[in-house]
Amino acid sequence: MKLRNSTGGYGLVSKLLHWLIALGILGLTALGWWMVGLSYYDSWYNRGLELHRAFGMAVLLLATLFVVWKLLSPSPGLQSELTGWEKLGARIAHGILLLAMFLIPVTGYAISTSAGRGFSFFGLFEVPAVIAISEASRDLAIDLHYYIAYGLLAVVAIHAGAAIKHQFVDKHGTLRRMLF
Amino acid sequence: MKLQPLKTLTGFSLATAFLVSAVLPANAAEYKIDPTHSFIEFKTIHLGFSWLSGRFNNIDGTMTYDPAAGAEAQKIELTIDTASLDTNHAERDKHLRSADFFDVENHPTATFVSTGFEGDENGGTLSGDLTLLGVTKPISFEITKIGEGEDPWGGYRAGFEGSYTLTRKDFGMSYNLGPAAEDVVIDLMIEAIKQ
Repeated sequence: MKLRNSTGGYGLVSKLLHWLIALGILGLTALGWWMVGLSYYDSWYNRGLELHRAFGMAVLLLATLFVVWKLLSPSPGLQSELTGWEKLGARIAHGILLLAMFLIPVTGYAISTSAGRGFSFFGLFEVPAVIAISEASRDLAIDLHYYIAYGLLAVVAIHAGAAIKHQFVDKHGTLRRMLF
Repeated sequence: MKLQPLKTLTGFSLATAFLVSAVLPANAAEYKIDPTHSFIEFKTIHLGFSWLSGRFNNIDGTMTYDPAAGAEAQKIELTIDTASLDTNHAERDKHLRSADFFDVENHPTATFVSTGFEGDENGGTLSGDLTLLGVTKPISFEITKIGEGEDPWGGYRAGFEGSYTLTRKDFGMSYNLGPAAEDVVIDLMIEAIKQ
């Protein structure tokens, strides 16, 4: 399989990044939902948050690579079988997915470093704090992080649902384009 | 020679004091809490290792303090703005204001209204109703007078201290902070100005 994308299909790099980011989005949303329900005395109270922050930064890095690769190696584009409104819907969904995979980790980073302190990346190094933000900005970042993350699940469901529908109902072979 | 006018002055002051107390017996014992010189602090054991302390920055209240009127006449009412809690850590304070702890949105104030006192002008046992998170419980604790008298600016002040240990879950604050942090010590340091 080719590394680069071509007009005929996606290459290995885009496929790998797609699935790693998908895993990251779902895993981080689940971890986030679980960890905020933990009480202070739970042994995972701090560990859960540390992992959430570190994996979040890892996904931000993957998302950056994803976009850079998209520019270096243009994607084959939407399937020609799609109708006009399906193409429009797909573009909107892709746009939201791309935007959210930056907005969610950036707001998360802002929350985590709001006091002007950095945090550990899997114990390997310290992710530095760039700016300390006010309590009001922190509250806004928390709301954005929360609503965008949970709201994205609906877009993920539409994105995946559409791919499955075009694969099994329309028999366009849509899913196969992203599989190895 | 110089003692004479002083004696006269003292005699006059005493006469005035008696006169005032005869005319205004009720007002003479009314005090207002000085919020800038009163402190309501709380502390609990962090994980069994050390104290974690905080305070309520906005408090208000009135006091009736008149030892001559007997123990039953002594009263105090305190109102605490629960959202004004401060533990010197913004993130923790936000959590403490949430529904996990003080639930300040639904319960913006906590109050203490005394219902009885046994003791003398130097202190004793104060009883009253403590309302926290909408739960009212009768409590009693020891208070001690620290001092009273005229301040340098023409006012009259009295100060007391006391301490009460409550169990959080008795007031419905049962968030798990570990077995060492189920009780909270409330320290009162109250200075009041005679009205």
